[in-house]
Amino acid sequence: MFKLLKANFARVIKSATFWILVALYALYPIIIAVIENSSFERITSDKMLSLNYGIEWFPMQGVLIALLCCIIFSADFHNGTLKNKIIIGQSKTYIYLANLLTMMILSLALSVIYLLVFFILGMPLLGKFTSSASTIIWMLVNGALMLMTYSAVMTLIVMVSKNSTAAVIISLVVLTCGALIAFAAHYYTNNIPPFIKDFMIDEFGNLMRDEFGDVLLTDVPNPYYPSKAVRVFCQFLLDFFPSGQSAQISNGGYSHTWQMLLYSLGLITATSGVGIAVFKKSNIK
Amino acid sequence: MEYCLTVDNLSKKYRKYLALDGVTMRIPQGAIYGLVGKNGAGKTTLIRIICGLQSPTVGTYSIFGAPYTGKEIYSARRRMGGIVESPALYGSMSAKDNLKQQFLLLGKPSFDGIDKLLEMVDLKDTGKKPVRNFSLGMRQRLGIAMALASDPDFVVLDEPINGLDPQGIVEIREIILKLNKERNIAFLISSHILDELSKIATHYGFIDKGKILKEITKDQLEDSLKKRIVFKVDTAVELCSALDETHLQYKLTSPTEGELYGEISISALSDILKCHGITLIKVSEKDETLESYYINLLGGESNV
Repeated sequence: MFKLLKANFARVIKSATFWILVALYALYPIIIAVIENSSFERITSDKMLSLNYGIEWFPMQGVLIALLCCIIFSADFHNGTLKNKIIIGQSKTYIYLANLLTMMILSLALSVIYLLVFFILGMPLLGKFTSSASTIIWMLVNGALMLMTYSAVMTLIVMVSKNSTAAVIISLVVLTCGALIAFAAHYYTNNIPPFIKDFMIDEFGNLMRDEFGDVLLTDVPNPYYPSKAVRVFCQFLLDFFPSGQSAQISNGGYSHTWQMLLYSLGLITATSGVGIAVFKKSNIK
Repeated sequence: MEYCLTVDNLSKKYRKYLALDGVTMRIPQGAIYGLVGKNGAGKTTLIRIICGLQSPTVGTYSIFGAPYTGKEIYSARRRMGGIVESPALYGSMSAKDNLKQQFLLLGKPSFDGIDKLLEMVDLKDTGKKPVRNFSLGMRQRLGIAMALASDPDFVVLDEPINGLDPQGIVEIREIILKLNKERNIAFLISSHILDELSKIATHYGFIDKGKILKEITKDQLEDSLKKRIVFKVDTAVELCSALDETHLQYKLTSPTEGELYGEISISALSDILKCHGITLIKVSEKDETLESYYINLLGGESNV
């Protein structure tokens, strides 16, 4: 498998797309740090770190990983070069695993580029972290696993669809669905207040007023506030899907660290298992 | 005899369509095996299975004695190279970079040997030109170089001369013959261009409707090909009586033209005809070709 990895990386470093992404991940923290440094209410280093897992817009990580995955691995199907690997005795399992590992390493490497530039140039401008060390470490761990999960899902799509156009379309559909689920779940769990203000009404049905004649308001339960079961389900969706994880990490202040870790590991194992089983049975064209 | 490939009772079914039906064949080490069959006969399906791109529905095959179901098949395949359908190359890369990819996949410690391979297939001067700008012949030659990167003992080439110009065909033929002679590399070559195949093959396998109709060596084939004498005479009078005297089979294609099957010297034929007052105007010796043998094997021209 080491040979497959070496060949993959030799191809990656010749890819213009990869270097464009390297430039994006290196320039993005510099631009943000410079802009924020000159603004009145500048963001903290914690927020800056969390942006690594959303790049401004939380589905963006998935889009970038899908782009890289489609360009690098679809070429093997498009050019038929996958045949060369099989003819010379590489097993389909190893080919799949090598592609999966390549994608994971690439997505983590891009994230590390962001972190390095942030630590060297961003932190001196924005100051030290305000959160605890454990919060920062959890963010790095959950963020890395989220990137690896995206890599596993995109590798599955490309290796099973076996066609660059189909892979792009399926990736876009999956990413859009993931983003919509995360957006809806995030809205239901965070944006709907449990109580809303309502007018106070006396026993005769009149509006109650204070001594200055202003209408009195009181907190009443929000009828649109989701039930506990719905909130638990929405939180599960946010914790389970990488798009939900990305939304939570890039917004900061999330608490389900262990759940996210376990869901990521579960998703990576499940998608890889399915991918290998399907790819092993497929005919290579 | 050591075989690089043995196939036993191999069948492949696509839903209701039986692409291969109990194929059994043997390719000895060092042979150039011509797999002959028309389009849709099952040549490419057989090659795809041998190369591991598909699994058979029934039956088995071994490469260098390693059965395809065992783990040893992966190391056996490392002694193999091949082009299936069309050369598999990265279009955006140069010839050299494509070969570097192959060397990395093979786990070669260095890129030594790439220049030699490029020189052998006459692509040394292509520089950084991307493969997508190569001609079909250049791509085919680079495909062969890729297949040879592993120093294989067995190379599978699926229709290697399809679409090539005459110069390209000669070049590919020379490369195959050179490698077979100098390195004793066995080749499995599928083609329906029989004239070209007959110039290089040492063994033949004839396939039709997913079945191997016959396996034969070049010597056996030459023995079984009938000699033919095509002639033209000045008169049809007493021609049949004269031809009967040769004790050979014959066929008249017109009242004064015909073919004699078997061996007879031209002077002897001329003498017999003279005795009947017939003058030989035109005569030529012809061998039955691989094509006509194949057509006969299939049961007549209507099958081709």
